[in-house]
Amino acid sequence: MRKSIKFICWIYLIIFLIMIGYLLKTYFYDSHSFVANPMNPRLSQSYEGVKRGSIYDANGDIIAEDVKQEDGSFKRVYKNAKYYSHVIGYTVNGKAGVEAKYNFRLENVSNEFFQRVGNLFLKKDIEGDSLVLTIDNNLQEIAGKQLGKQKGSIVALEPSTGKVLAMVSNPTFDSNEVSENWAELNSDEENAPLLNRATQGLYPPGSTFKIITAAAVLASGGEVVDFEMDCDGDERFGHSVIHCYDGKAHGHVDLKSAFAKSCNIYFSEIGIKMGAKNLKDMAESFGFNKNIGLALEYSVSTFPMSENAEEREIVETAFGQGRTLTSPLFMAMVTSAIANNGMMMQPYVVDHSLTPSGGVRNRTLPIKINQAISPEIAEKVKELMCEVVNSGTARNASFSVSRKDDVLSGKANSEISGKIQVAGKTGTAENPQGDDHAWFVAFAPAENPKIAVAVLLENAGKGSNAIPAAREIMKEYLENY
Amino acid sequence: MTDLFIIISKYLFILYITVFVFAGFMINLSRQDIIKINIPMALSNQRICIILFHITASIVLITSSFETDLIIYCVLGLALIILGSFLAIKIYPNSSHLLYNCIFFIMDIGLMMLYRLNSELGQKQLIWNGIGVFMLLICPKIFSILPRLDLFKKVYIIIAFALLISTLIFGFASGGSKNWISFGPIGFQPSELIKIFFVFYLASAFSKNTSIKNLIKPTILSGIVVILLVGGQNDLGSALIFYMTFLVMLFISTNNYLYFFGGVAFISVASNIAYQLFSHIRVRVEAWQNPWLDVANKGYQIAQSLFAICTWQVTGIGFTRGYANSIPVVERDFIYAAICEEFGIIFGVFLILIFMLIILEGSRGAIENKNKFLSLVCFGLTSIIAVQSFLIIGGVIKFIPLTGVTLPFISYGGTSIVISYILISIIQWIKIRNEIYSSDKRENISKARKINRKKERKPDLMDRPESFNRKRRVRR
Repeated sequence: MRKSIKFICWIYLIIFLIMIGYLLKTYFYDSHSFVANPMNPRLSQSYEGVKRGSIYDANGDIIAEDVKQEDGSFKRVYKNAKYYSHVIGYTVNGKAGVEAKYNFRLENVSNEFFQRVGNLFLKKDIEGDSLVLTIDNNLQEIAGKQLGKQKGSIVALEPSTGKVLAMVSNPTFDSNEVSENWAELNSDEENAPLLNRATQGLYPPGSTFKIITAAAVLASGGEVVDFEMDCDGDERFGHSVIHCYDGKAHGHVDLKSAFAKSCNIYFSEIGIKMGAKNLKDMAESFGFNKNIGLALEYSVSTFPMSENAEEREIVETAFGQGRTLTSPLFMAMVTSAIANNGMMMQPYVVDHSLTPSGGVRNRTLPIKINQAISPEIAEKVKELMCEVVNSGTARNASFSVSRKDDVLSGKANSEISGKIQVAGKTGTAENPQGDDHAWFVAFAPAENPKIAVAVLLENAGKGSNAIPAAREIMKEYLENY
Repeated sequence: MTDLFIIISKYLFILYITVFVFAGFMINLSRQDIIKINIPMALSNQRICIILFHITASIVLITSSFETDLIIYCVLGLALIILGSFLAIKIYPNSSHLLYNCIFFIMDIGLMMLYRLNSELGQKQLIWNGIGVFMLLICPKIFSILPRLDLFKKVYIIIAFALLISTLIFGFASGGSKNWISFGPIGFQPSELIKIFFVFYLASAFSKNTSIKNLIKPTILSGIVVILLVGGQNDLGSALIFYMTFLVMLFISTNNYLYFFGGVAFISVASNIAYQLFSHIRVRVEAWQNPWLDVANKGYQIAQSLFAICTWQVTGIGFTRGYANSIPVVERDFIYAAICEEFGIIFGVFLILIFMLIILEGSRGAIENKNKFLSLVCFGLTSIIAVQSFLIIGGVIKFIPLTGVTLPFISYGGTSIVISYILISIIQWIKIRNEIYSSDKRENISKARKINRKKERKPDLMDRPESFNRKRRVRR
């Protein structure tokens, strides 16, 4: 009997120890995946008398900070607000953007004991942690200026990590004056200024989708890769007629020249030849219909075509019309994946937190989402995209970087100078709202990609209209790399 | 200034509980002669920790909301702890003082947490604790004048069934289970009281003859109790506690591993069948498997609990600063999550260790006793505390599916509190009867031997069941 009691007693103790182990495992390992859940009321914490953390760009320039008022309270002040408003968001009327999603960190008082003691004896402010973004102030400003008054969006990513280097959306608003203009901002349905078009705007991808169709063809192997045909500018598929842009006849085309010239008829033909399943598999491999894991508000890009779709839908989907919808950020991610040997990276805008005493906390590590395509196929698609710039629809995308002084003095990276090989794809997206949307996605330098850009200009006509904005951003970035 | 004190208090609380638990395990090691420490000194250090905990927590509460009620509450709480532990060790010098310290500490953690969550419930809880401590002090005296308790197994089981059936007829539901009876304004949970009778019944049934024939009847009756709890009252947690207690008592009285592992296998199969049959069980299991699928509804409770436990740093957010009121029934089932949130996860781990100390003390009482009946009662009651605290802490941290039972001495609930104290008082009574084996007062061992000799001269009937059996046989 004593032995049995000891046995059971040991079982109890061991089970309790396992329970402690489970508790610690949940706390130290599993909790990262759920404490940021929006149902956690602790995320919206705010303490009176605590100076909310500031927000800096990648170079350490202040974008948002709490400024002490005469009565001792704090007021949030934003610099360069019109370029940053969608990323940063606001703290009034229900928060948005980084201010909302990273509220917990901004209000989190690190080393609270010492800060409280400092406050008591030295009257120092008690501060929350600051955030350092991945966004480059310079690039953000250029992107904003490139958009000007044009509705649309520009996103620039670092392909190897998923860092968002620039993200602008137009029409915009001023984070400083959200409270005052709240009614107006919400009622303006035509411009929807509060909508972050970069992440929440969904548009037909137009011919930029041919990147995915081409990848699907290359991945499917077989004869369809070597398919060649003569393009007359229009062709009948079943009951509908497909046109190339402006009804232009491209003559004899293969995959390379059809991609460079953006021949819709060629892509319709290979779309049918390879079948809906190959196309759908490839689209989903790139992450259509899936969450992308961005910390900001975003819409999921959708690819609703089913495996047994009708011919008409396959044809339209293959060259980027149909029912497919994508956000500018998502097209930038697809482009980055081609640049990054086929690996999709999770995009992120906050690089790390800074404690008031300057300690680095919570550094974001790049996360791989999925190997969308093999490195070999990524290399082939990259060649196709180079051809678009060298001989196809995006010839004005190429540029040169000249900065002899910096190279000679050893300040700059000598690899990136002279003429830069750009890889890109234009797109002209027909849409029910009016004139075509202009798309351009690109990355550079093609041999060692440092930046990928997606430009979308609403109702701006053909895709080549979007090229200059992308070119200026890539040029600016590489000149200062 | 208040905030600064709350931050300092976070570290103080962890210091107190660390010293307390460390002393507790040291005492255990010392009794095993692995190390040598001054046991009375360690015990009084523990008492100091409890009092300091109470004072620190009181100051935090009072500085954040200065009310007369609160000051009275804190003073009465302090008086209850000091007076309770003083009287307990004065009246019962040969009881387990470590066990008293453990329950006074966790009781105080519960009192402080409850007042902060809901001051009205806190005040009621203080009254219940007062009654409980009173029971703790008088029960061993009452039990020692009672006649031989192993002779009334029919009485125990009849009372148990009477309580169970009256709950089925007159009971009302609160919090999902139909396990309440009301006496005027006071609600009462008979299943808590049944625990004691159930253990006494099984102990008297198993302490005699453990041939298979004699095991069948108690097994069937226990089965009916468990089925009535699950089917009639929808009280899954209590049913599990009763089943495990039965199984453990069956095993230790027969020493048959087959029964134990067979019983564990049986409950696994039965749970699986119950999972297939009953949708409300399925809902609970699904909420446990992945609460994140439906955080707004099915997974809400468990998700809110995990948020509370995991959002802050290891030292917690600080007493009174948490968001625990976002968890449904935080004062009862989920109080452990609130403790982890405000006192920190380190504190939460140490709290589990205190429950382990209680289990060790109870088991020691059972091992040291020579009388089979008393050993069985002691370990049965210990098992109830062990299984119950495991079920609720495990449920709150998503280790096992949630079954709504109270955390002994901490959760709000009058019946639960008073009965928990009675359980401990019975364990203490058994330890007192057995004081020669207790080594808390090692320096008094010669005195204890003297007492023991006196006892040998005047033998207690309870310690000699064999002789009694012989007499009965003769009579037959």
